Amino acid sequence: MNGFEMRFRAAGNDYDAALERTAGDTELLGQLMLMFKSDGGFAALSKALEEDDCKAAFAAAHSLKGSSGMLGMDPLFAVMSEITEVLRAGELEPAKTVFPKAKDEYEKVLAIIGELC
Amino acid sequence: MYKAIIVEDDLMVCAILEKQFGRFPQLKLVGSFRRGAEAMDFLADDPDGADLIILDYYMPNMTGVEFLKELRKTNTKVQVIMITSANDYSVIREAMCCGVCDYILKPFTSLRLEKAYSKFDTVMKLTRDTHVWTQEKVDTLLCPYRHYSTDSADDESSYKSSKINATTLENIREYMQANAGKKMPLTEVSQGMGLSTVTVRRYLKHLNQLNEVKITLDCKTGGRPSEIFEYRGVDGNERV
Repeated sequence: MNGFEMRFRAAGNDYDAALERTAGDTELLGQLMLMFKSDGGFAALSKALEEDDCKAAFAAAHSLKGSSGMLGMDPLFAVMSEITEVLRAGELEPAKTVFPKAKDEYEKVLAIIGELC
Repeated sequence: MYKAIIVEDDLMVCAILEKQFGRFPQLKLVGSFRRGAEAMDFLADDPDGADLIILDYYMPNMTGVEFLKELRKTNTKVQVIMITSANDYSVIREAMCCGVCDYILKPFTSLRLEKAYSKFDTVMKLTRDTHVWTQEKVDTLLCPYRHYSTDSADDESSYKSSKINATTLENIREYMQANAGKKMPLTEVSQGMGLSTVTVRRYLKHLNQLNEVKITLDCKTGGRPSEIFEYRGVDGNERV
């Protein structure tokens, strides 16, 4: 088990599920992790919440939920699911309340992915 | 050889779908589009350009269902597998009304994708080979999942309702424990236990449900991917 895999698992993420989705291709999984890291979706979510743009926030949250789910990032997926649902109902304030937790989980994942570089 | 296109705006999901559907030797990916409109243009230029569309729902400018409604105005032949995180019943129902071969929720598993492909393959072969439509053939067309394998033990619902004999379960568990850490195909376990593959698969699936056995796919067989079984331990912790 390499360092990235160990830290990814230790943080509560599902490495096996992520690897299964890439049909066992660890190189592709690594590329996708780096793609996730360089994606501007989280910044877009943050900006949309600051600007009270519920529609843009929902689109960004939904996209992040999808990508975190596909990559086995279970803690981030859970909080992004929560944010997505409240934004789907048009509720900005609950989304803003949960956002710091999402930021925390997002930064944890980025730190782990940073080991791949 | 079937021709498939992907309509999905997320590049990461596209990469995964290309990898996953690339496992099926009878399927050739002939296009990948970020927007529904681009896929519509492709099909307008070549109405027979795809046998299968792998379609997302949430896309800019045109949702997957909007794309499907537009497509079905001129094309009722192409098969569609929707792969999306949209779990609203209204979306699911609209997609079904437009005619989808399967509807898969993200995040998906390889096994679920394999089932979707098998449904598509069953429908394609049925429509190709059938000249006289009997009730049985219509039933298969309506519900290819229940009919795509002749082995009834492959049907998850029959597996779930099947009796699990405690002694047989313990024997298989002991065999897997003795081979902990070893990745084994179904045939190896079946031969080791002296039981049929149908029976052994049912018990291994049960142990998978209990998080004791891990199931992965071997995609290097050259044909249909096969399942590989590995004992994880009673509490799901990997044992070596």
